[in-house]
Amino acid sequence: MGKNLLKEEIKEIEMPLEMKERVVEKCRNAQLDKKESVNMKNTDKTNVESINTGENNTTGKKPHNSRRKWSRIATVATAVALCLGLGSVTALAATGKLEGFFADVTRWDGAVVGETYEQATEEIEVTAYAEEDVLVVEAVLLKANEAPYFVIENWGIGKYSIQDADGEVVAEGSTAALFKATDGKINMEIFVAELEAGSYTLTITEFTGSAKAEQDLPVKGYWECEFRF
Amino acid sequence: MKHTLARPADDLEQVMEAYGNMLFRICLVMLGNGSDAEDALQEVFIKYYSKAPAFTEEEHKKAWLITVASNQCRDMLRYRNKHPLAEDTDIYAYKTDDSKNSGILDALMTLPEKFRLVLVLHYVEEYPVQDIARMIGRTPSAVKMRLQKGRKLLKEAYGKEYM
Repeated sequence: MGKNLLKEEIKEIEMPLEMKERVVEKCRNAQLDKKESVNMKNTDKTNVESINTGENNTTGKKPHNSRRKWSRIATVATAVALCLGLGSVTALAATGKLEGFFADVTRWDGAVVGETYEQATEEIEVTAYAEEDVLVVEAVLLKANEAPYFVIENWGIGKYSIQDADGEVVAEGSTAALFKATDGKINMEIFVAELEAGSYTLTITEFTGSAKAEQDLPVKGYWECEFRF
Repeated sequence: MKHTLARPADDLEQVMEAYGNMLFRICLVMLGNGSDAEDALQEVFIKYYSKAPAFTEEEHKKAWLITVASNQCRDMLRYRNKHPLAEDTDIYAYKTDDSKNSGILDALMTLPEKFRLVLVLHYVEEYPVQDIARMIGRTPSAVKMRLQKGRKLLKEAYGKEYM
């Protein structure tokens, strides 16, 4: 036919002008908020440092506004104490060293019983290959030195599915074993002896991270890789 | 420090002007409705503003934006699968000429998201298989398979030839 109807109709779709302006405006506002929060953090840091070192007190006498300064120190100390009590991941989040989207896991009555890391798709690279009866899943942590990755000691696959060439799910589940990360790389194994020879797609939607004395952290994202068995 | 502004503010408008429509089309086709596509695009632009690497050429920038947009849409679809909403597609609301309605878009929207994405990148944005493979992090043979199956599914859904 030579006529690409799909292209003709999709190319007619345009983003409304007001929507474009809205996106740019919201993006600017988000950046300004971020910049302001950084400035506020820096100001707080400078204040605490000046209190600790006795800066601005050239006379060597007790500062006039010592009551206000001590109340600031008390506030910072309370914040630090609270952070320490919240577990390492939450503590990092509270100090601003942790970025990304953490979601609360709530019980039926609304009580928070844990948390998940939601946006790991671009932060972990996954490849897979079959080796005898085992599917070896290689995960490379692209931000291994950043939270939450450096906190996690052992890894497992929380949710995976294997589809055949027709898209039928032939296996799914999670790995019971835990695997250690070495230099930001983890080699995990899925037992796949029951598969017939052919091409398959492995889909992973969740890894599980665990560390000593910490609650397991589901690390969520979407990864797909093809393999032959 | 990650919090510093990485690029001049006016660049944002230029990028929106150059790629806004293309990214919106991809997000709209993947997500099915305009408000979700707007949310996705906003995330893409925030990431562009704060996390984009130094681009060697314009095509590199475009490919980066498509990759981030498709990953963002996938994340949103994953969330939506867990928290389903009864929301109809409003893809036709964004067509400049709504008199032309062959039904091909309705047929396209019945396909799984992974087929819609590769079909749009290949047949609308005219990217070769190799480039699409790099953008979505799959092998070229996987992209070819998706294109093949996507074409078949689209033909079945549309009921007649469309190209």
